Amino acid sequence: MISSQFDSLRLELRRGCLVLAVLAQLRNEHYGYTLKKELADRGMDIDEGTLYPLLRRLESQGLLSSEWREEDKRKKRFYRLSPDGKSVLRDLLAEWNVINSAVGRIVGKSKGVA
Amino acid sequence: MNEQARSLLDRYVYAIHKLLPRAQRDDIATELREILESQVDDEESRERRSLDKDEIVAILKRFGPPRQVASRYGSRQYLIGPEVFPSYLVALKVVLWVMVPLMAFAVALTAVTAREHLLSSLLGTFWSVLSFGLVNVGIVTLLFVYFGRASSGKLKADDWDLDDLPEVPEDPKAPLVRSESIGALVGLVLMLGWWLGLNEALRRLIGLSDSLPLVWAPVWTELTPAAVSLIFACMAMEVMGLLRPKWIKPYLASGAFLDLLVLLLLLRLLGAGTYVGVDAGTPHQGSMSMLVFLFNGMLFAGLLVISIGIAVSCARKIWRLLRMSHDLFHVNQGTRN
Repeated sequence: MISSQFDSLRLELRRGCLVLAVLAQLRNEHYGYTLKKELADRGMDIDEGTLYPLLRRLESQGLLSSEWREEDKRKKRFYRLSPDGKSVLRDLLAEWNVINSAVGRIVGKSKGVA
Repeated sequence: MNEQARSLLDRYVYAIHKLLPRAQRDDIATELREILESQVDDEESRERRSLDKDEIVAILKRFGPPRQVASRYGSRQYLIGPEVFPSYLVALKVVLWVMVPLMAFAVALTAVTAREHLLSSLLGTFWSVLSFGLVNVGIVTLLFVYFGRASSGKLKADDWDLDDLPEVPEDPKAPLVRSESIGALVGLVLMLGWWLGLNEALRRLIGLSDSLPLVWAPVWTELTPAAVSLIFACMAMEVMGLLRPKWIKPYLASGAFLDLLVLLLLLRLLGAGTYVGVDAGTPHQGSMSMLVFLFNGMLFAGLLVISIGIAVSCARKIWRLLRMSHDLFHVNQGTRN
């Protein structure tokens, strides 16, 4: 019961962070597979079933742009941050810093309780 | 990447492709295919060897069950859970496939049997069948709403089997198979010979006498010009298939048209009912009636089977023509022959 509660809360916590991580990583152009690898190398492992639909969703929201291009004799879909995405990322990062500091302060105060 | 890996990826991507939203399915499937190939290539270059079947399966299992992968590309607002939504679509299609012919049959039956007030009888039948269909669709929807709620989040990443993956159907744009055209041509030549009575001539040539006092009914002679013309037209079509195996659309379109004409001819034959009679000079004609009845029954059954075969062949050609225009799976996946 507690384990499933933890899983569900962890999922919720990660959901927003994933969007932020993907947007930040796509300041440089990537195609799906290298994006997943780079995120994993930086400690943010996202399973395929979540990452690729997320890319589509962010693109449909206008935050990413994509194009098919040939690389290593194979056609690949490259994603990068759109101008709207850059602006949203800037705002999200500011919000992230506010939340991070606030949570840091709260968690810091409650350390004795935990 | 070896052929086995390619085939497994084809089947996996095809299983997802079938379940994706129609507007995006080719694009998403192409991207998924590319991602999987990159992953396989990456692991093969790390291992410095080709991956075996189990290793490919492990990659696909990590990716997730096709239904779950496909459902994640769908809308986030749903009445029916994403885990069961593809099954719901299949159930809905089954209901519609049953309902549409039933509706057509009921309306046709009403049109034939209604003695008066034809229009109101037709509308009444149409409305009854439509209401019945809507009730069925409603029941199926409610059941899947329940199943969706009950199975929400219960589909595990490895809760599927490789054997569940469908086979990738034949590429509709694949060139025609020459051996099939040759086989068809041989069959057509034999049929032409039979229709023109060459088998009778051959029998007489090798000295066999007529063992049964039966004669062909006039309907065969009546249909000979149409049948012979159709056989020659079919032969021309098969020669085209033999010489130009990439002219798929003209072959399929002319084939479907000729199948329809052959069906008309067969319907005329089926309608005749009598195909053989007793030779006028035969004594004790009455005693031959059972034999004639038997022959006519067997020929009717044979013609019925052939008609069904031709109708299926015609439907398959039309279906392949439609797939050529709408299914881009093989083109985008690079699996064309």
